Amino acid sequence: MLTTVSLSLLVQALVNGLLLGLVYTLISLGLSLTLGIMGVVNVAHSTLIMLGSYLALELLQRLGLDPIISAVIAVPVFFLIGVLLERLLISRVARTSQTTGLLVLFGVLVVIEGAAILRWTTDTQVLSVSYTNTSLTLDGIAIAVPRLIAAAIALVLVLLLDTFLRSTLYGKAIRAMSQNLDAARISGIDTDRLSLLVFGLATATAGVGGVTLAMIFPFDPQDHYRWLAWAFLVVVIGGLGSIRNTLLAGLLIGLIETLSSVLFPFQYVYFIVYLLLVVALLVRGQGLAGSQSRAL
Amino acid sequence: MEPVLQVDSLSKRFGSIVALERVSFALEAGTILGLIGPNGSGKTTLLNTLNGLYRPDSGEIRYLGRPTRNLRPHQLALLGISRTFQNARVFHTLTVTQNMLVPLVHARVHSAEAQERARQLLTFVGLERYQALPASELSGGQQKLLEFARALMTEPRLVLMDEPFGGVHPEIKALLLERIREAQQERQVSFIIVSHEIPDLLSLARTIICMSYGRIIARGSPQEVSEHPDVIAAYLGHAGGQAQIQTSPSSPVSSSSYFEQAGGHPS
Repeated sequence: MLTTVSLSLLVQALVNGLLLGLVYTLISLGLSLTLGIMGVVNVAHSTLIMLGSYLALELLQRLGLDPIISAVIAVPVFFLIGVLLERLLISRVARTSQTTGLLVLFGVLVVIEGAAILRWTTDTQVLSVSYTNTSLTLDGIAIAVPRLIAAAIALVLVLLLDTFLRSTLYGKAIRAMSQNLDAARISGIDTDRLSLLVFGLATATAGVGGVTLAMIFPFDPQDHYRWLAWAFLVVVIGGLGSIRNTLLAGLLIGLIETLSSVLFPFQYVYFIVYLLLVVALLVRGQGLAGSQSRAL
Repeated sequence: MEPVLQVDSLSKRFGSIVALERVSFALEAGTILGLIGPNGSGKTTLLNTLNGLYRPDSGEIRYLGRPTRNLRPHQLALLGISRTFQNARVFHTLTVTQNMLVPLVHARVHSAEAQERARQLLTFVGLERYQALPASELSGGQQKLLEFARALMTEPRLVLMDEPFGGVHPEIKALLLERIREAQQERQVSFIIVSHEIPDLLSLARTIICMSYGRIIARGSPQEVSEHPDVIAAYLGHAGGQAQIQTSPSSPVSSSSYFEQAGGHPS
């Protein structure tokens, strides 16, 4: 089963894994933030990622915009979508109980997926730009340019979000809120307003994450479940609400995926990653809740 | 003079349990009200209702003459009602200074002014040397001091304190008692203090209210309440006999002595 590989192929896989890991970090961040800070299990997160991919496609096809510009546009667009979702749904229903929230957000997933199929059909789409099939070669290691750009976008956003949470008073208030909601409220922190901000930011990361994924992988309205599983895996391993731990977990998953694809036949890759999700949940004992102690 | 707080016929139920039943009282500016009663008598529920964490089923709360029914906890905090908890709820991964600053996130206070206010209050409670430490590294008693200082950041007119003296080092307790008195006398802050440490509470409060099963069963001076037969019955389970409520307070100490004895490090 295990295949023999050259050193250069391994290094290639390592580099690809790290780049992919940055993108996985980005698509998982929102899930980690909403779960860690608001206690909301946003199962519709992956459909927002998928919408990000289609935003890039539409902007490319209609306006000829490069995905890099689409990533910038996605920030306010998806922030607004997140704000609307939080105000119209999450704040009313989802926080009454986690089960109710889960069902409501599953409904959101079905609606978005259905609408996407109506709009774009189930055909697989590819973002094709001038640098799609180009790569940089360094000491025999080829790095695909789209993957490099996607990883750079992800890294910038992850660093910006980390800086926001660590260096601004709003960020510190969000961290306070994630640690003790009642204490934050009675101290003078408007936790409703901050929840709106957190959900907006989480949705923005999902949208930009969708743009970056579309630069690397073909996509259709139904393949987002894979990204949901990936994101949950990153959250389970990295813990809730902690950007730095999410980054480490994202890089680990990226590396495991690319190294598995080099060391094992292709069909084993997903099996290995999903197996890792099961093992991580078992080791954690309490599943996602077990990750909470490391929040922010 | 208009009272800081006016509570009229406040009631709150949780299913079939009556947590508060027609509770009424008023609190004058710059006074300390002690709230005592056996476990489950409704003291913490009353605090949670006063600061907006719970909504009353009926009755009215007026803070500085203004009804508070539709105000949320953070709005009440910014208007001047602060709160501490039985187990100090500090923000563990934030530093001591950051704990002090986050309550002002929505307040229109200049950053330099907020920093200065935080520094002064940390000095006030003897925590100035721990400003850069994560709050998790403070001892339990120091976390209570930090929570008290944080409650003063919004310059409150009323501070609600739930068991501030429970389980803390005697010298930290004495410091806390002294600082509460100072805040009351020099800043005209009013306090409602729930405590099972009755001697300490009696040393602070001019008026005591005793609750049992969600109702006020006695109110008056410490002496009057401690001798009230219903109060004795509530604590001992029967009326009559010798009053068993100890009323001698502990003695205060200087703010620095505990930390000097502790070697300048959080224990």
